[in-house]
Amino acid sequence: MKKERLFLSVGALVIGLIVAVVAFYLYQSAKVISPQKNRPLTNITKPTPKSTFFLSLTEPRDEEVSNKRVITVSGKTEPKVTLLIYTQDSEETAISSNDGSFSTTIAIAGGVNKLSVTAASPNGEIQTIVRTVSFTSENF
Amino acid sequence: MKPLLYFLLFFISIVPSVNAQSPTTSQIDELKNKVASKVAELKLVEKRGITGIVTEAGGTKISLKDLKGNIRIIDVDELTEFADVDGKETGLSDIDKGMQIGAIGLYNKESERLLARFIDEVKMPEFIIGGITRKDSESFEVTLATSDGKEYQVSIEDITKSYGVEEDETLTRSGFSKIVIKRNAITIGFFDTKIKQKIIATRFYYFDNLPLDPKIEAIIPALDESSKNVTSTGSGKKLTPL
Repeated sequence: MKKERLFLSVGALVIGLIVAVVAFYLYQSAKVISPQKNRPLTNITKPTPKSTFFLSLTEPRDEEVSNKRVITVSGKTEPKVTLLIYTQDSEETAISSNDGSFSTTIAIAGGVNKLSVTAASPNGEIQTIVRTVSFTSENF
Repeated sequence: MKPLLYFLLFFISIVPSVNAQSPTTSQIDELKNKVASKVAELKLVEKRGITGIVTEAGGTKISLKDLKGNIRIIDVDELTEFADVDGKETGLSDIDKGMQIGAIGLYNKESERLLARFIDEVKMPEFIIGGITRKDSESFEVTLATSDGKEYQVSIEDITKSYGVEEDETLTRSGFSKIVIKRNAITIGFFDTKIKQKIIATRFYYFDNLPLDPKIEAIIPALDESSKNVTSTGSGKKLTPL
């Protein structure tokens, strides 16, 4: 009687194992890998290198009101960069010094002016800053 | 000896009276507070000038969209002076939606509003910075592509002053024939009222000896492809296929 019990237990265990293996095999074979997941890795786009070319203005401050018609435009960029400073009425050029700093003057019109500074690096990269600057001789 | 005694007596009698005239601690504190509040007030308000397109006008305030696209509030009062584009005196009722104005006044940093002292109607030109991608010698037009992927037709007129910006910071006056493609350029002008994206240039600058901005160079193939899909009607109008 004991032998029969042992035989049945071992048989049940073996059958259970076979069922589990078959179920696992069926589950794995039923899996579908989508073509999107299977695409070649060569299609991954590389991020474009970030530009290090910069331009910053120290003066004039944005929306500044000046009581002088000729204002100073100064700032910093990379060394030996060509700069064009322009308003709706006038323009000036400058080249940054060896440490990248620049300073020049430009005449502005009465009232509100739009002032732009464009820097062009030797490899053609462009940076522009736009400021609003006003001239009035009135006291208020 | 007597004069010295009299002098000492006089000195002793005068010292308390001098002390009585000097300000008390509370008076000093009050004065300090007044000075501090005045300094704070002065720091809170500063002279500023702004420009933009009017989005709303009425009552005692004007709303405008500034050059950066921000909505700004301008307060007006009885001291505010208005002028049109010719400098003729006007009033708040002459300010309409869509008008470009310049306002100079006192800006309150806390409320972020400008109490205008002078409001002028202005006609500010457009500044377009990009790369020259095409040149049409028959119509005297160049195409400027900007780094944000837009294209503008720039009309070089008789009135247009064009300059080459040299590497030694000199500006060389030049004509249309000197303009070459694949150069960075800046145009200042006004949009054509009939053709969208067309600018009538008043000034045109190009960086003569420098290559095109790599950012613009990178988008040229896409721009060329999109322009191929546009059929010309021969009348200046472009049809985009559906």
